[in-house]
Amino acid sequence: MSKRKTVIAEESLVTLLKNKDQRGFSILYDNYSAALYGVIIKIVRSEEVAADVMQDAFVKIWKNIEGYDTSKGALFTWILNVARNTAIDKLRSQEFQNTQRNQDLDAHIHVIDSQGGSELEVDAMGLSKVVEQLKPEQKQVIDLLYFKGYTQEEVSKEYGIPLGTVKTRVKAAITFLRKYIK
Amino acid sequence: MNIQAYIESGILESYVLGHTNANETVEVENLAKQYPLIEEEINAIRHSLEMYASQFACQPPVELKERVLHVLDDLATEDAEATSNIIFVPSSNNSFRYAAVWVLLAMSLVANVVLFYRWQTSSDQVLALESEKQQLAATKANYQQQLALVEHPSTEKIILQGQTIAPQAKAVVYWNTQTQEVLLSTLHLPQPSATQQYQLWAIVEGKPIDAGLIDTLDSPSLMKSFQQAMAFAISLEPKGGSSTATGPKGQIYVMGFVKHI
Repeated sequence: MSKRKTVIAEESLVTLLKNKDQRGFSILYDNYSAALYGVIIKIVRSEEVAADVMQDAFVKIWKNIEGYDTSKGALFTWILNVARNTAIDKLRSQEFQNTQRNQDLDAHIHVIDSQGGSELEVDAMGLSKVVEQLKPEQKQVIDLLYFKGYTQEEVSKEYGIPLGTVKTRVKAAITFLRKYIK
Repeated sequence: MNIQAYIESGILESYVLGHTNANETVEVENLAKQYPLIEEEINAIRHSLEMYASQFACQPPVELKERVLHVLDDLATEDAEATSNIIFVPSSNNSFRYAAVWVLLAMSLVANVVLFYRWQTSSDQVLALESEKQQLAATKANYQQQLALVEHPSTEKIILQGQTIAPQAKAVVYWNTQTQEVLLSTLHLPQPSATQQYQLWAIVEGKPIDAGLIDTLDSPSLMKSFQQAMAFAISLEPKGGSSTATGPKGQIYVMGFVKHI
């Protein structure tokens, strides 16, 4: 995870990116690709599709970096949103749903692989213990919201959980994460 | 504003996850500016979710970096080409968009020209119709006036018969003895030469009085009014006619007497 990270002030990195300087994108990739890829693969559940989504996400970042406003939030927040939205869009696209019907087995293998790979990273980051302690029903709700792009209302409808309960679980999960994640 | 209730409503989580609509987003952002507690809550939710997401981090295949950077490199090249040729050659990256813009612009121009032309033509046509309408209205008024004159009980119909020079010639004078109007009609006369013109005369107390020049043989026309007359006659005169003082210079073509005299 930390093998090729470049230490650079976020401000300088943003300047490089806004100038469409290739060095900036190389640093961005080195520093954040693992985090982005992890989220993407968790959403699309296929390495092949994840690579495409990753490429699309970087193209979007390249094209829209002018519009990124440092005062509105951290660079990571922004690029993570771009990657997550690109992946969720892909997940919901007809094309994707059609190909996945035939590749269900492949997808399962990939998921097992990538989950196996990610656990090492989790340990490295010292977060796994915290996440493990998250109650399954809280983790489920967070995963649906974050990785499936469901709204709280959709989670309530699809899983037959009262909306109030969904909200309480989200709150509890976030309160819990807040307490342990700095 | 109950900030706690607002925080509890779950809208901040929806906001961070990008599930709020445009109005809600603006609302949340405004409130965040107003209430530090809300801003803090948003940051905490965001941070927690990001950290949660980060725990799934995993290294992408090594070759993916090269592939992604290569695509960005292509974009940069296209961008540079587009910038250097910005005036005439659209970048291939945005070529569709540029092409669409040009096509739409061209279509719009053509449409404008066509519409302007049509508008102008229509406008001309409206003017022509308007003028035609006015002419028709005038003609109608004219005919009505003539009909009223012809049908008037005090109107005499005097048939002017062809004289020796043109025995077949004929004309009709309608003379309203009350209003004194004179209408000349039904002109069957040989076409005059370009230097000549027919002139109507009223014979008053034995003397020919100028009753007006005849501009056309094709339609009836009102002539000068007369209080009294014993006969009407038409002579062929040099262009511009002759005065009462000199009397008709040319030959009389048709003549008719008023009956009641």
